[in-house]
Amino acid sequence: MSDDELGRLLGRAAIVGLGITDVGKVYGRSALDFAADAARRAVADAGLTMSDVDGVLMSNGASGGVDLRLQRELGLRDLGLLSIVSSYGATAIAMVQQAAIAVATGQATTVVCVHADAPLQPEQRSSAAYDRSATAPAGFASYFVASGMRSANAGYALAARRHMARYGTTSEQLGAVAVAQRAWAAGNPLARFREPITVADHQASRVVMDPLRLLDCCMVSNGGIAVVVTSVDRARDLAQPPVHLWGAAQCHHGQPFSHGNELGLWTGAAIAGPKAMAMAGVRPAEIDVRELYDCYTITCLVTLEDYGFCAKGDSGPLAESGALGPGGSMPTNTGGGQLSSFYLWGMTPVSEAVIQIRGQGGDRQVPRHDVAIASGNGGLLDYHASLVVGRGPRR
Amino acid sequence: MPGYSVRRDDASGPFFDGAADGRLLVRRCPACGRWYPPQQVACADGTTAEWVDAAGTATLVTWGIDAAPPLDPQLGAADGSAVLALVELTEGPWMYAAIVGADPATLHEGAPLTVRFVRPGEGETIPVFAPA
Repeated sequence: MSDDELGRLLGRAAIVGLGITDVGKVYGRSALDFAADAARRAVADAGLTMSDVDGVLMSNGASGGVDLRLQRELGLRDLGLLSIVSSYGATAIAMVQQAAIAVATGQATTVVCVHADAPLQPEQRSSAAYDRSATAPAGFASYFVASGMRSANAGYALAARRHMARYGTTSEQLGAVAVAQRAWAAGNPLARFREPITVADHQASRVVMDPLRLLDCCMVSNGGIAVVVTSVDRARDLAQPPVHLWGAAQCHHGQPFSHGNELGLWTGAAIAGPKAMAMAGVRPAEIDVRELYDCYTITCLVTLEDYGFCAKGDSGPLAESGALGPGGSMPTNTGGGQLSSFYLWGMTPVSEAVIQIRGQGGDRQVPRHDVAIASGNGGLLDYHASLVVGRGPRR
Repeated sequence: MPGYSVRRDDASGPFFDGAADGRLLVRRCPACGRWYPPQQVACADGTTAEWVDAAGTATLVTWGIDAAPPLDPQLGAADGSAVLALVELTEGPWMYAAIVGADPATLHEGAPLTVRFVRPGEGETIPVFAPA
C-alpha cells in the first residue's frame, strides 16, 4: 500500500473521546482502577455509552496491573477486539493506529485505547519506581548495574552526552526545553509543576546523572488516560469535535549494540515521522503543534531533528531561540509535557494533541491548531511511533 | 555502599570465569565472523556465537557521571565518582563499563581505553575500563 492509501485508510477513523483521571500523587488506587476510570470518562466525553464499545486496547506503565480483567470491570460483552499492547513509550500511538485500522476494516466500530499506571507509593521517592539496583538482578544485568547502568536516567545521560559532544549542544539548551514547557504548563490545570522556571533555575537544579540535571528529567505519575476511536461517519453525531487521523507510523530501530550504533544522534523517529507525515500529506512546516515524548529534554530535541523541524544537530539553538514556548514559532509540548504536567507514557503527548486540535486548551490553546504531530518513544530511544492528527478530514 | 555483588547465572558464567582469569570474553559467530557483546547469545541467523578473547582495547563513545557514589569504591573514577560509559571495543561490540583511574573532566569522545578487572564485594570479577 502506498503512503497515500495508508493515509486514506487511517483517515476513515477519528478520536472522539478523551478521558483523563486524577493524575500525579494519587494514592490508594490500582492501575486497573485508573484504567477503568479513564475508559468510562473517555466514553462519556464522546457522548457514547459503554454498550457502544466493541473494542479495547490497553497498556501498562511501570507498575503493571492493567490486563484483560478490564473487560469485566467495564461490563463489556462480545468484544471484537481485546488486547494488551506493549511497545513501551510508543504504545499509545500504536494503540490508536491499531484501533483505526480495526475500525477501517470492520473488526470493531468503537475502540477504547487506555493506558494506566500506579508506580508511585506514598513516602517513596519517584526515582524508586525506576531504580534497577533495588531489585538485585543476576547475570549480565547485575554487571550492568555495577558498571553504573542503574536507572533510566543513566541511559539517557549517555544519549545526551553524545549529542552534546557531537553537535555542541549545551546544558543550557537542554534547559531551554524545560523552561519552554514549564511556561506552557502554567496554562494547564492538570499540570503538576506550574511555577515558571528560568535557565538559571535549570542550571541550579541538582545534577542527577551528569550531563542531566533534575529539570531535564520527567516526573513519575499515577493515573490513567483513554481515548475512543471510531469511524468518521459515526464521529459526526457525537459530543466532541472529531480529531481526524491523518497519518501514523512506527519505527523500532533495533540497532546492534556495536560500531555504527546511532544512540543519541538519530532515532527511529527519522523514519516513522516522515512516513506519518507522508501519509498525512503534510510537510513539517505545515504542522501547527508538536507534542513530543519528553521523558528527558534530550528526547524532545532529537525528535525535533529527526522529524525535520530543524537540521540534524540544530535543535539546541532552536530551543534556545524560544521557538518552542508560548508565543514561539514552533509550539511544542503545549501542556507542559512529561517534564512539567504528568507522565503517563505515550498518552501524555497524545492527550495534549487531542486537546489542542479540539481547541480546548484554555489558557494554553495554540491559536492555529489545524494539524498536530505526536510522538512516542520507548526504551533508550529504541522504540518510536508518530501520529499526525487534524481538525478537519485528511486533505 | 560496599557489599554490592555481581552474581552469575547460567548465561553469564563463562564471561565471569574469563574475567576472574583477567580475560575479556565477547562473542563471535563462527559462521559469519561477526563480533557481538557478551550478552548476545546467537547471531541473527541462529548460529550460536562462541566465546572469544577480545584484545581489551576500546574507545570511549559516551559517558555519564552519577550524582550517587559507585556501588563499590573500586568502581569509582580517579575522584571517586561513578562514571558509566559506553565503550566500543576494537573488535566493534559496545559494552557498558565503569570508568576507573581517570579524571572525569578529561574524558572525551574517542578517548583510548584499556580493560582492567575489579571484584566488587563478594561477587564476580568484572571488567572496567581505564585510560590507555
